[in-house]
Amino acid sequence: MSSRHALAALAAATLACGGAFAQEPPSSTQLGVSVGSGARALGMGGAFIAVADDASAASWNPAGLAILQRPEASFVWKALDRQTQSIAANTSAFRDASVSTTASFTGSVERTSSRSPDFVSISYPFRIHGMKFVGQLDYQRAIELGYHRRTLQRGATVSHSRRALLGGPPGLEDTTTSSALDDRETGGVDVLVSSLAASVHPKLLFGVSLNFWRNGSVLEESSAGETVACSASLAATGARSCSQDESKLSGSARQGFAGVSVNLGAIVRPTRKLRLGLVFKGPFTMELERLRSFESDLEHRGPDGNANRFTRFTRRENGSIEWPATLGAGVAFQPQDALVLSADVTTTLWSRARYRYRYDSETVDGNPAPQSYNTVERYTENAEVLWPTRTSPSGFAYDPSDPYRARRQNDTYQARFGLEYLVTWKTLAFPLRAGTFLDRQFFTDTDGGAVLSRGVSAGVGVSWKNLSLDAAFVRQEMHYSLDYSERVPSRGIELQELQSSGPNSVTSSRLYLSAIVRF
Amino acid sequence: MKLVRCAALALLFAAAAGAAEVWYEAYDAALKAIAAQQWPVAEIRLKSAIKEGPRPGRRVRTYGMQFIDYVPGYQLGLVYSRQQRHAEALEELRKVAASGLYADADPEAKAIAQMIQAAEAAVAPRTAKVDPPKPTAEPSPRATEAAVEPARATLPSRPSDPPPAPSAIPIQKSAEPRVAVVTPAMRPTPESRASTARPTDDRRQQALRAFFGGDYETSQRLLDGLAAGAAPTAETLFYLGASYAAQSFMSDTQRDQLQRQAKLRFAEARRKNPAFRADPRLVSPRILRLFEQSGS
Repeated sequence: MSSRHALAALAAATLACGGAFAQEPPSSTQLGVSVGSGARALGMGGAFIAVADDASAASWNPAGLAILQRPEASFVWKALDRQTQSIAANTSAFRDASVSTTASFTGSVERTSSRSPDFVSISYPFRIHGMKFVGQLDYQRAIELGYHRRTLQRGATVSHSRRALLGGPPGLEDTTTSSALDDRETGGVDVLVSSLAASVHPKLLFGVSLNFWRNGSVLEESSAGETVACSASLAATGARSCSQDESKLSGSARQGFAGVSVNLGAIVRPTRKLRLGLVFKGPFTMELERLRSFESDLEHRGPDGNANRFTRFTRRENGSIEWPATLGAGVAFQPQDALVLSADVTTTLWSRARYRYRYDSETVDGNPAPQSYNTVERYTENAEVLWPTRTSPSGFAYDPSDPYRARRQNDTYQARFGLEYLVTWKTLAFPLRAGTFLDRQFFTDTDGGAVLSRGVSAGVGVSWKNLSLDAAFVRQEMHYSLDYSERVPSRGIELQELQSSGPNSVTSSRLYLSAIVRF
Repeated sequence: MKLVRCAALALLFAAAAGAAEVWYEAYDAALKAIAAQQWPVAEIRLKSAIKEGPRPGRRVRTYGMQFIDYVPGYQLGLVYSRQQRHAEALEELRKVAASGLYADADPEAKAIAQMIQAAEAAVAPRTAKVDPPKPTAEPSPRATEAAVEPARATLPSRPSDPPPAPSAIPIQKSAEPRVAVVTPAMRPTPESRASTARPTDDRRQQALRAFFGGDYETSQRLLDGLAAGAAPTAETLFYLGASYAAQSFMSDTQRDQLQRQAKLRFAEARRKNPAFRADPRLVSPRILRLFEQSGS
């Protein structure tokens, strides 16, 4: 590989690194592991662990099902628009025989837009030996994985070669790179839930849910990039020559999840106006299968000649995620018949989440003609990394030696507050709802501090006879900065300095529409 | 895990500190007990609901977005009445009547008024025996006001939805003699004042009181007499059919014969007024079903 190719590779690697800095994993709220469904609940900011008294109860606190007196069916439809913006300026300096400085700018905009059923349930109360039970079957889209992301990267590298010290001609080389990536992922992880709740005492309710996690996502990706590398000799000739590399990549990835988990819940009603709730979502092992493949073509034009190269890459990965437990507690207070106030606190032990995987990859690299230049490289790896920090947004584990990714992962905490006020008119009831919540993320900012996501919600509804229709709007924002700086001493006189900084923001708007029918 | 254990213990203590029954479950159980004519059970459950529950009203929230008409005093009055505890029934029903839950024009108000009249009629002779110097059974307006005042203070001022359907409540025969007594709790309307001047309307009212009091033989006898008159109304013919139908449900030997009679009267009521519809809140669904069958 020529020095120009090496420089281009360095620039490309730096850009890729910058891209990694800019692309953060989704928030725990977006992962959806500790949030239930239903427009009524989400209109109250999701503070529903102690309320949980309608057909969406199983997703918040299975014990709440035991409150139901009549069979109910519910349907929830969700519209999600989420935008993740990240801007990162990355610089790196590399010193050995040459002194090179790379500066790049990465801007990424990821948009998620989905319109899909979010929750469907049917519940049925019955009695055995006088004890009241309520069974429920439901489906929920637990993790929305769909998104459409466009990423633009621009970078420049200037390198002053000191090869003269080693006997070669001194020179000045510069490289500019630009690339555009387009990823589109569809699908999500669904949960089929079978729940049973019992009223063991008129004031004490217990519930259990058995969750079957299924499905996954399909990713389609494409990118186009261009690297122009120029060099000028500092010798007397001063000649400057440039080469151009154009690359195109198209690939796809599939991932499928499977697991079984158990949720336990309890609700106590010490008085008519007060309700306390407790929910425990047990840890479990989620099996994960992934298949990724891409094809890339590189066209090189330069003074050293023109060449075409291609890369065919396939990777099969099997792993298991040690999904963490979630513990939540809530209180609901009804100071007046028309008013309900509620508050929840939830924690998920993300610091304990791990992903163990094994993958086999095959890379075919070469020149299409003549075929003799082709090389085949096979690689197998077993590793354990943090989940989900150590995985890329497209779902594949990063290099475990990546220093940024080696940061620890935090437990998450959520605090939620909500209220519901009823206005009645003739045979109609109109609930008005509002809520707010704070969500501490599992990843940290530059200083290792907590990244907080904040949200507000509002909801309205109408209830007439056996039918309730509700709508809720949830707005959530998260802003954080990732400044990263590290000096990596290497062999002898080599020194690599990496710096990255830039603001990141995630904003999401969700609309929920629910219908509940009582029979 | 320590936190989990502490939270679980806190829940258990909180549960132990709580009352024994959820009010709407008690109320629901009471309604079922009434339907099964288990009066003592219904009484216990109703009292539990009253103790634990919110203020009576219409569109009272039980849980989630589920609402019910919650008028336990009405059901309690009925339960007392069926247990021949007419004085207690009278007290409860007067409270409901005075609560303002129903407007005078509401059919429920009329049904309650009729039940009050029946209870007062049952109470009157006893009162006379106990208190010979006062021959009238009518309580003084001041005493009645005092009796209903607490209920008036706690109940919603003006509800807007029908109460639990009296039709869901089975009616039992009463052997007590009935004498109409007008009280401040059920002041006569201009229509009823006018009707007292006419013997036919008197008999009709007497018949309806007997019907709603569960004395179907008397209501049938009185309504038969009215139906044989010059121009019986569709309502008269309907309640005559309903009296036959109610008796048929309690008879093992004459069920078919009585139901045939009921259907004949229902058919006559339909011929008289094809648009006639009985109020489902006042009449049992079983009777309404027979009425519907008579038109098919």
